[in-house]
Amino acid sequence: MVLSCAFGARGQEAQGSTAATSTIPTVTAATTAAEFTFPEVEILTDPLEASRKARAAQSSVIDAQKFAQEGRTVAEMLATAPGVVLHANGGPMQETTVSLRGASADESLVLLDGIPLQGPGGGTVDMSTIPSTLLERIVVSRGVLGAQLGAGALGGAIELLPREIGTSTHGGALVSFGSWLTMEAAADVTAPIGNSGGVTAAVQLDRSSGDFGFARQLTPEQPDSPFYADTRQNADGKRGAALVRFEDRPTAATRFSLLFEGTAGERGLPGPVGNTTPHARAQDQGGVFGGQVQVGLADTVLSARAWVRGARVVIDGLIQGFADCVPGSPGCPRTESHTVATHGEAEWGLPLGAHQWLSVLAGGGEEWEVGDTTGRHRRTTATGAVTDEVKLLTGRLELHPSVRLDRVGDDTALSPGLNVAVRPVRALPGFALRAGVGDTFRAPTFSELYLDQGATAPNPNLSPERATSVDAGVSYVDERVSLSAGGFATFYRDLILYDLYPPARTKPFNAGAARMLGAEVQGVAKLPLGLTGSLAYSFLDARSEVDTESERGQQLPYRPPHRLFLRLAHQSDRVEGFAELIFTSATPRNVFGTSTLRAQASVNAGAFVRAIGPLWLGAEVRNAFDDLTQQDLFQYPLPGIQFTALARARL
Amino acid sequence: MSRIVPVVLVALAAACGGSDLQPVPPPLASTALPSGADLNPYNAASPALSKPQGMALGADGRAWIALTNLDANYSVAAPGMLVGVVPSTGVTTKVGLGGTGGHDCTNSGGVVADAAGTSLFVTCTGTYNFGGTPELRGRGFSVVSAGSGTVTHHVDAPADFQPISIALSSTRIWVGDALTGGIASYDRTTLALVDGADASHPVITLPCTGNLSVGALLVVGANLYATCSATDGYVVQLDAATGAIKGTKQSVGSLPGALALTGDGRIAVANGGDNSVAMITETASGFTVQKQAIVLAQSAGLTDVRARGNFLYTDSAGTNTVQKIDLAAAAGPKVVAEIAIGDNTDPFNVLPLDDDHAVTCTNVTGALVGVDFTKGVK
Repeated sequence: MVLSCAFGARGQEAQGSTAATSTIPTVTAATTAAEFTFPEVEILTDPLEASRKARAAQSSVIDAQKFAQEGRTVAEMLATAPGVVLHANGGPMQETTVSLRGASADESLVLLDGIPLQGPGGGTVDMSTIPSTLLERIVVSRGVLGAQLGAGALGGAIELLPREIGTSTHGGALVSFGSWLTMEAAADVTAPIGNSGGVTAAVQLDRSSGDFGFARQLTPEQPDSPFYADTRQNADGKRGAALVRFEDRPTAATRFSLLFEGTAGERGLPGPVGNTTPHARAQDQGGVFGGQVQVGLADTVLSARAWVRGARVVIDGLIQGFADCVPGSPGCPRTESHTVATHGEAEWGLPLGAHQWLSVLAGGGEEWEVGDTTGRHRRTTATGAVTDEVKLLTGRLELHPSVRLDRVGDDTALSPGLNVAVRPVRALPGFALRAGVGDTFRAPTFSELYLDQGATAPNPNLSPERATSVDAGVSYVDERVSLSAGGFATFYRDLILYDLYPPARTKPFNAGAARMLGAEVQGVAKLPLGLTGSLAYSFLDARSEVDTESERGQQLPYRPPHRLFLRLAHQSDRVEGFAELIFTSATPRNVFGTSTLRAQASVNAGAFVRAIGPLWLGAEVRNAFDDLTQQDLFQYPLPGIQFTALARARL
Repeated sequence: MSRIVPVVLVALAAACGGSDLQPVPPPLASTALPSGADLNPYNAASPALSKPQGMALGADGRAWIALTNLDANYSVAAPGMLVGVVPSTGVTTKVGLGGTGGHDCTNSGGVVADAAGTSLFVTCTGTYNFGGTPELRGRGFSVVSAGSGTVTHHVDAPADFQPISIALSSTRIWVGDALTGGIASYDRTTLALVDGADASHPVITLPCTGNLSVGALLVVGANLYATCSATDGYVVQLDAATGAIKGTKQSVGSLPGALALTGDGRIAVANGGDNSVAMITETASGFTVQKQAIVLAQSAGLTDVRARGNFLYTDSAGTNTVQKIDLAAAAGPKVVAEIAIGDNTDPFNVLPLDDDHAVTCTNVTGALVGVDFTKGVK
């Protein structure tokens, strides 16, 4: 299959819901001004074209369908891309957050089919709550991309693109069983409706007892302090998720789609080692529902979309400050919060001459939160954006200027951005140079503004934090290899940091400043014997620019300076397998330069055979060398060796 | 919290020479501190948590521990309380600080003993109003007779002042504020308020900015040392007789929370934010600071430091450990012993009884735990 990225067809792709491989006919709204061709292997997608919204940004594409067949979580998939750092509160099904280019998790936008998953209550997205088998692909775009993807994309954005709708009825199923009774069952089905539409539905169920073994030192300041065996407690979890997507194209110039995704889970909150919380529990339910209409009008495209997102989170039995209690016992705290956000927007895309496509967007919405610890709050949001795409030199030079105005509550700010790409050698259309610059902001969340609980104090006077970034890179794509490399510098100001609020609380203030310098390399190559090799390397120098004697110039914590992912995989119609290495260099644990998390490496491997017909059987091992001393966040151990058996079939 | 007790220990050890003394009886493995109804909660349905916040050594060898008696939301749930425990027997003396109405002294935290070890001075921080309606009751400090176990005096704090640390000089009682960089002082004899008495005698303001408290005070000779306990922490030297600020503040680390005088005359500063110990050396013109003289890189929540001769003793609340550090080790300061107190204990204050034995009070489990640095937890 050859993908045609027709210049005039951008409008209908603008929301990211129509991925490049969609087999449903596309709306044709304009004549093609320039056309590029790409190999069909998705892992070799041109990084410049990876994101429908952030064109010419430094992006990586992750084939979620392929990795989901390996029983991967979304977090494990993200680990294959450069510029990504994941933080896990332990083993399977525990909270996992993601940050891009050294930005914090609440500065790294996560979008499901274009809908931001960051709730108004808190700014981070728990990637463990997103079922991987419900996704088609993941696009990781790095850089300050607020102009293109919305306020909050200070480090970049992760676009989760849900399963697509095909033209024939088909489906699949996957079951896995592994260490610590970690199990997954997933199924999906896609069916056409009439001649112009289709529906896809998918469901995923997960559970784990989470009681993995690990090693710990009781007296770590002593040289050669021995390690003792321990077992994680109250780290179990279970989750169910479902996705339904409907799409119809009643006319050649009209498309209508609906998306629903819902998830519900329950898990223990084990706490840090040594200060465990054996009784505390968390429950969550949430979902998004959105609809979109696109209409081709002459040579323009008019689209409108609306969505609503809601979430409920209950924390039971957690006492601030190293303690918990039995949920339901007298005096044992239980906190509950509800957040709802709605948004609607309209976008008009039109050609300006033969080489330019202009999109104008306007929208608005509301956000609500009702919480035991935050109170009841509401704010309005409004957005206006203008995005231009200019192609010159017969399409070899692309300019993507954007400007976006966002209003979140009382905060209004502009996010300008420009990405430029050039393919300087006509004979090498896969060779490109790119650069980008952007500035954007993140509005304070309801939690930062109003959360008043235990050791956390609210600050209703917070201002948005801002970031400015510049990056540049080079990429090359052909039928056998995809390479990209680039560097960036990002400058943060007015960062919201939790500072001591004497004597025993912390309170958020706009007190932070930081700068990040980094480099990213990604490569994928088709090798002999049906092998594919992948590499992702990230370098990051993240420094505090807080003007204090203790912090100025120090490395920011939990931003590993070096991170390497290597993978060798084989795919054929009867046998598949992979082996991979994930290496993380020694990482600062605080901003004072006094504590470091040692370097860590994990080797994972898996093998699959097609046993009969469409049935594949396989086995995987993670952390193959059984390093029981690994940690992510301080005092949150990671599992040792983990075995998984899988069976899957696609019909 | 004031750390004048090590001065007493050092002086006693030096005077006695140690050779003719009976060894200090080893402490019990664990002594439960009062909890539940024994804390005299205002409302039985909202019980106070047994959370020690400060500890000092009395002349008779008893460890005196201040209980805040706050609840899980940092609200005052019971009157302040000072508890004396004989480490070797567990015999406990309970001293209620609430007075007749139960509100004289609440949220008791910092404790210091006088030079003779017969009187104990305990701060009363009162209610943290965090921007709410000011609650003026319960603030100040109380004086307790170690011998009789009774409150002999209670003195109110200046308006808008919440004492959390305390130190004694020959003429003054110095008190640090929990929510600002303010220091108030009282006449040592009459207990009359001096700095902070009125508009013409205001509370002393340390030359620090930001969100800070005065987490620790220590008198060494003619000088008073005060911490600006903030993420970017400093120590300020003042005249212990007048409160006049000497020289400029000096950076020591993050969240300095305890001060201790060492056997070689230096001052150790425990920094809870970066888990380091800074060492202060007095000079003719002021003082110098060796930042990060000791780094406890694998620990978390350094809450206390005490000194005994050339040894330092530290508490790491986040990792539930206590350390013994040899300042005179050949290659520089070295952790020579470390003891795990136990998961979910939160050791908050440590008090050396001799070179190899100590007690630590645990903030989560509300106990006084005996530590034998030659073996482990007793």
